[in-house]
Amino acid sequence: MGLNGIVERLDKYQKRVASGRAEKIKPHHIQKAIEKLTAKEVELVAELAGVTKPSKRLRFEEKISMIQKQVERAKWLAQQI
Amino acid sequence: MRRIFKKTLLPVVLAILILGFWLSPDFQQIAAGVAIFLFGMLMLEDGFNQFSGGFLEQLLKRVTGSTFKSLSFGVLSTTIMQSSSLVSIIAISFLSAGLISLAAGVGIIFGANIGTTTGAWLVAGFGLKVKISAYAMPMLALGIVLVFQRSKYLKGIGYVLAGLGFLFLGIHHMKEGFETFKDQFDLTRYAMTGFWGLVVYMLVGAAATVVMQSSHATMVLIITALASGQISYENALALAIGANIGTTITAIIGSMTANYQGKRLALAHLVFNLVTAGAALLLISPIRDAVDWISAGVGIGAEDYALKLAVFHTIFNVLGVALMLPMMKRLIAFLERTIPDAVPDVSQPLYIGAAVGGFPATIELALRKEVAHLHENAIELIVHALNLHRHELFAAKDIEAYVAASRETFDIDVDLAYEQRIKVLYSKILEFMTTSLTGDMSESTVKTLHHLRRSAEEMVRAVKEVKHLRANTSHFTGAEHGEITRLYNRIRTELARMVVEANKMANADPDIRSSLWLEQERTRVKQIKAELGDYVEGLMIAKELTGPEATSFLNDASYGYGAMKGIIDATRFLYSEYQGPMAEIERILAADDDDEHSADAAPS
Repeated sequence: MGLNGIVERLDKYQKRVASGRAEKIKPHHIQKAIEKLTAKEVELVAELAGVTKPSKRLRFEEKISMIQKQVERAKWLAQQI
Repeated sequence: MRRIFKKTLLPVVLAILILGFWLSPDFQQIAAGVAIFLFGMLMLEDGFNQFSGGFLEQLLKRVTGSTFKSLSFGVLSTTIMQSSSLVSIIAISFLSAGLISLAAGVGIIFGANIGTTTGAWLVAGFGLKVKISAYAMPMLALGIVLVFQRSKYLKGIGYVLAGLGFLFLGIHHMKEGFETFKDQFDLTRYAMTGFWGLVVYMLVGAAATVVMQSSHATMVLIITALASGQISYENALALAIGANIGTTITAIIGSMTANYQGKRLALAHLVFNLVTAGAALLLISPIRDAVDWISAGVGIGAEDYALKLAVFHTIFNVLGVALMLPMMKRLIAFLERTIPDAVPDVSQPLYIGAAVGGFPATIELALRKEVAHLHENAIELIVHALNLHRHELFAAKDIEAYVAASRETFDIDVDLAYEQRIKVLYSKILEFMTTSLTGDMSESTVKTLHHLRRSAEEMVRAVKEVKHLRANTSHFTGAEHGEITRLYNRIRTELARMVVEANKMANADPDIRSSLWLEQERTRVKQIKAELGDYVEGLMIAKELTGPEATSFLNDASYGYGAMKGIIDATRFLYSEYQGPMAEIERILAADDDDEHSADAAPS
C-alpha cells in the first residue's frame, strides 16, 4: 500500500486550505464518501455470488479489494483531519 | 418523392409570393402582416426562453400544476387581455420554450375559451371594447430598448414586449390587407333557414373572423346586424359559433414557428373549437331555450339580443369545456399520436445553445448533459467499430465469450461516422465552452468547465484510437488466425469491459455515484499492458508469433490501451465531483501507481 501518494496529496490539500484556496473537509464529507464506496462494494459482492468463471471471479475480487482499500484510506483520512 | 417535394417547396413558395405581390397590393399587406406576426412569435419565444430555468418557469409550473389551475389561468389571463388568440399564442410560446407541459397548455386553451366570453359581455353590456393592440407601438419601442440591456431578464422582457408589439403590428397589416374583402360580408346575402342556414352562417362567421383577425370584431358585426334586423337571431348564433372556429387561425399561424409541442397545442385549439362548434350546432335548440331561460332569470329582455348573444357565447363555450375536460387525456394522446415527437438529430447538440443563456448553473448543467450525449455517441461508435452490439454487450454475462463469438465485420464507415456524430458535436461543445468562458465566471465554474472539456477530449481521443485499431481487429477476428486472433480478441474484450463500466457509471444513482469506483479500471489498463507485453514476448520466443505480427499487434495494442484510458478518464471527468470537499476527498483517495498489484493493508 503506497502511502507516499496519499500523504503527498493530503499535504498539498492542507496547504491549499491554509491559503484559503480549498474548502475544509469535515467528518460528514468523509462519511458520505465511505457510503458511496460501500454501496459499490455491496453491489459487487452481490454480483460476485453469481459468478462461477474463475477469471471473472478474480476480476471482481480485485475490484472489491480496491474499494475496500479506499474505504480504509478514507477512515485513515478521517483521523488525519 | 419526399426529397423532390422538399427541394421544390421553397422555390414554389417564393414564386407564389412574387406572383401575388405583382398581382395584388393587398396581398403584399397580408403577406407582410403574416411575416411580421411570425417574427413577433420568434421574438416572443426567444424572450420566454430567457426565463427558462428561472422564476417564470417555477411560477408557471405552480400556477398550471393541475387541470383546474391551468384552466383558471386561461380564464383569468384572457379576461385581463381580452384576447383568447393572444393567450393561445403565448401558451404555444411557453410550451415551445419548455416552460409548461402539453396538458397545462391544453388547460390554458380551454380556459381561454371561457375567458373570451367576457368580451361579449363587455361589448354587449357596456359597449366597452378593450383594445390591447393600441399598446403595440409603445410595446415595440420599450421592448427594443430593453433588448439591448445586459441583464438576461430585462433582455427577456424586452423580447416579450417587442414580440407582442410585432404580433399586433402583423395583425394590423393583415387586417389592412383584408380590408377590401371585408365588404363581402354583407350578412343578408346568405339568408337561409334550417340546418344549412346554420352551417352557411357558421362558415361565414369563421371566414369573417379569419379576415378581420378578431372574434371580437365579428361579434360586434353580428350584434350590429342583429340589432338592425339584417339577420335572424338563429343566424347570429351560427355566426358566433363560426367566429369561435375562425379565431383558431391566429394560433395556427403562430404555431408555424413553434416546435412539435407548440403545433400540438394549436391542433388542440382547433379540435376543441371544432368539437364545441359541432356540439353547439347539434344542440342549437336546447341551447337557445337555455339562453331564453337564463336571460329571463337574470332580467335580460326578450328582445335584448345583444346580451342574449353574450349568454349564448358563454353557454356554448362552457359546454365545450364541460364536454372536452373528461376527454383531456384522450385528446393529449391523440395530439401526441398525430404530431409525433421530433426525432433528435444525434449529430447536433441537444442541450447547449443560445437558449441556455448566461447563468453559470444552467451552462454547467447543459454542458454536462451535452458531454454525456457526446459520450453516448462515442460509445456507440466504439462498440460498433469493434463489431459488437451495445444491447448485446450490456446484457452479456460472459463478455469474453460474447466478443469471441462476434466475428462478423459491421458494414459501417467509421471515419464518416466520426465526422458526422463526434467531430461536429465536439466542436460545438468547444465553441459553446469558449463563448461561455468569456462571461463572468467564478473560479470553481471555470474549473468545472475545464473538467467537462477534458471529459469530451478524452472520449474523442478514445474514438480516434479505436478508428486506428479497427482494420486489423476486423481482419484478425473475422476468421480464425490462431494466437493473433486471441490477442486481438483480448483487446476487444478489455475495451468492451471498459465500455460496460462506463455505462454502469452513466446509469448509477447520482446520489451515490463516485469516480472512485473506476480506480480499479484505471490501474487495470497498465496491468493489461504489462501482461500483454509479457505474453507477446513469450509467443515470439515460442515462435508462435512472427516479428512483423508482434510489432503490428503491439502497435494496435497501444491504440487499444489509449482507448481504454480515454474511456475511463472521460467517464471519471464527467462523473467526478468538481469542487468542494467531496472533490478534495476523491482527489486524495485516488489510487497510486503502486496500487496495480497490491490489495493489502490500509495506511497505518
